[in-house]
Amino acid sequence: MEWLWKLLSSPSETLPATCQTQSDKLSSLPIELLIQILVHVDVAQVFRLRRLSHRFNSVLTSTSFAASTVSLIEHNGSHNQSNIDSLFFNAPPLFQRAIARRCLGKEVSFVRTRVPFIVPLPGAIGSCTLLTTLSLTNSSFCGRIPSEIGLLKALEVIVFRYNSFSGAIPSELYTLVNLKRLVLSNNLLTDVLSPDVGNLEKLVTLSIDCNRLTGVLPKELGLLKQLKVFDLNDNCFQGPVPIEICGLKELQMMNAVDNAGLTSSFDFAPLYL
Amino acid sequence: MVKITSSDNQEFTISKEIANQSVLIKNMLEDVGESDDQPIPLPNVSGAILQKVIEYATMHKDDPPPAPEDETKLKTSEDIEERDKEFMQLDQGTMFEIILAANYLDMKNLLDLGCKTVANMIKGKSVEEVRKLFNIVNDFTPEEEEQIRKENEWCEDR
Repeated sequence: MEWLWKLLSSPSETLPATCQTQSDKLSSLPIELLIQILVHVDVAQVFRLRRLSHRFNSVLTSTSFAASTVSLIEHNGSHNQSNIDSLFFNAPPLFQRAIARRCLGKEVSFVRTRVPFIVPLPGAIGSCTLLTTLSLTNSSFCGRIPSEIGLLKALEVIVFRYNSFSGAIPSELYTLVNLKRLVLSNNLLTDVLSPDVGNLEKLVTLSIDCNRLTGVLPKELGLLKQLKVFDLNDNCFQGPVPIEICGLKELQMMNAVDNAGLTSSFDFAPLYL
Repeated sequence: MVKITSSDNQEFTISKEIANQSVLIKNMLEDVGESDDQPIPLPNVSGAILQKVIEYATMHKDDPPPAPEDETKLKTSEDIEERDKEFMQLDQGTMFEIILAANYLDMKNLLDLGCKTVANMIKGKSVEEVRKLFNIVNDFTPEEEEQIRKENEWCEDR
């Protein structure tokens, strides 16, 4: 028997493909049984198996696999929240949506431990509608901030410091009226700060320093009556600092240095220019 | 006692408590009534596999019924009873036949055991090792495989 086994499993033999597939009993199991097997493989490792074959790839990226895994994670108290967060940012899109809907809590704090490759922030984050804090510091995210962020109406804190986000700040972000802290420092953001920033009336901290933002500062900044810290140093803003800033009674610090084109015609104690 | 016949017409006579471990047979018995002397046909299971399934059911016939909260505990694939591990030491063909039979006969514990056993065989192995172990044919073009490898960068080489 052994010689036959060797013959069948030897890759150098040019056996007809059908002969080999017949001996692959695992792949020929119905999809629901394959899923029942795969949910028992460590969730951080199971996605490697996508590379096995088309069949495994389609099973592992299916909604039903995502749903089964997520319900198993929910069932087992053993998976801690940071594992789930890290899984969310790495898994295939369908999986991300399933996790976002059912598993992610009110806070996501994520620091990528294993750099050096960079990925966009998945739009599926928009399914985490309960999220109040989204803190992704130093996590090698690149590309545009996804417009789906506008779906996270409960957000109070956004911290995206030290990533590689580029492009304009999405207009949807200016609809998050519950934001208290918005920290976009140390990215590659371009384009202007929209007048819509005036919608964010609860803002206490606005840090957009160390980016490549341009244009004039909108006078609507004067609507941010709660604002204590406004950090915009090291950008490419131009034109006069709007006089409306002087109406911000809570403002303690406005750091505007390293913006070659910014001018100011008035004295205002918190302003550094 | 209950009579069942396999796909290749082997007849087995088993006790009711063993038969009831299969939800399929249990439901059939409830439907046809117990006085019926006709054997229950199981056209999807061969005699050899049915023999093994009965062996498993006999081994577990005195198990206490699972407490409701036990369901959560049994989920990890590590906690397999020693006697079950021994039972599952089979060639792959038989193992997958048993999984299919457990699914058809609706025997949750046996199905769970089978799935966990296969999962444990996969764990800790590289993609190439898993392919070899189960004779899985890599049907990707090099480009397709490279694409998945890229998407998988976060979980490869761990």
